[in-house]
Amino acid sequence: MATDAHAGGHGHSLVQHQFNTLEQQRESNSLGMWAFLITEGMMFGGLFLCYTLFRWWHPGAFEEGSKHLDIRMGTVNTFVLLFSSLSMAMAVHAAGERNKGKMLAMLALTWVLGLTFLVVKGFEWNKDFVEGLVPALNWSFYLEPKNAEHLMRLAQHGLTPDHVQMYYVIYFCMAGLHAVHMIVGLILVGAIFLMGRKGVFTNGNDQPVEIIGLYWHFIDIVWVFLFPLLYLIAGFHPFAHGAG
Amino acid sequence: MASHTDTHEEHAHHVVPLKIYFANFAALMVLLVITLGAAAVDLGQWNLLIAMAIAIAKAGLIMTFFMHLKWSSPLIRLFALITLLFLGIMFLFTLTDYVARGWIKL
Repeated sequence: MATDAHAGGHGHSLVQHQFNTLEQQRESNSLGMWAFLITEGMMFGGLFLCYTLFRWWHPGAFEEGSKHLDIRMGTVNTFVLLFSSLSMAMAVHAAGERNKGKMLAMLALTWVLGLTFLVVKGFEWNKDFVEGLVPALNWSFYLEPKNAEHLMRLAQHGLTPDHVQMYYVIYFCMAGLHAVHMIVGLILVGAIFLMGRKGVFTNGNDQPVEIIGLYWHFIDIVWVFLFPLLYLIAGFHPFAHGAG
Repeated sequence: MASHTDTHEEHAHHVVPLKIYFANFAALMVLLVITLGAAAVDLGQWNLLIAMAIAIAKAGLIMTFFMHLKWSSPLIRLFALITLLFLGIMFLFTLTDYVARGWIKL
């Protein structure tokens, strides 16, 4: 197989006709994914810029908004995503070693971890919805009498619930876009798992796994920035009772 | 099924020792704990700077080892880093406008 790859015109060569060598082909394939990740970085970058401006204007509103997020769940999800990056890297490693069983096991683990992340997010967003912290759908948190002290604390800083609402709009845009990427990631990892069962990535053609891996790690990097920026603004109080 | 020992292995086909991945994951876990620890202490403006410094370190570790930049060609490294340049232009030129108009105060 490996020697075939360099022969060129052979019927089942790994090297496609527009490339001279396998090395050149691999580099081109990777470069394509990295170019895509640049555009992804710019898309998320626009949201990070929006975040920067609004936090600069109303730091107190961001602090107040962040207090209602559950740091424990955010921490669990950060761990889950970092762990999934490890299992993804191990899947790429197994594909390179042509170890089909291990590759499939690691892809399955990555997929389950990705799903775990989304399930935890689902619980968080459901809690936000019940509490009335979702702009447009249910923004009633500050209208409820039991939350009057929150309203007063805002007023002391010259802020209104509208300022906090902007934090939540940005929170849901950023975490939401990230979750959409996770769903796409689950579809991609699921697809290469199903294809990989037929052995197409463990015969020397392991690069598709590596390229999907690049995308997966990118999503992880975005979360690495989102976690402190969204959850940890108001500080981390390990012994405080609950959030808010 | 020949074993994969062609001359291009070094560049085209880098199977990284697993222990590098484990060490990288351990380092990421340590940084996660430091992030939480640093957030538990009120350091004023420094909290944000420390959190961002740790996030950048984590991103660097993921890119270097998990995303294989350590073993990638200069062209791919350039592509990875050029994102920072583009983001820098977007942030710098937007923020200069906001600051110059006095819409945000330095």
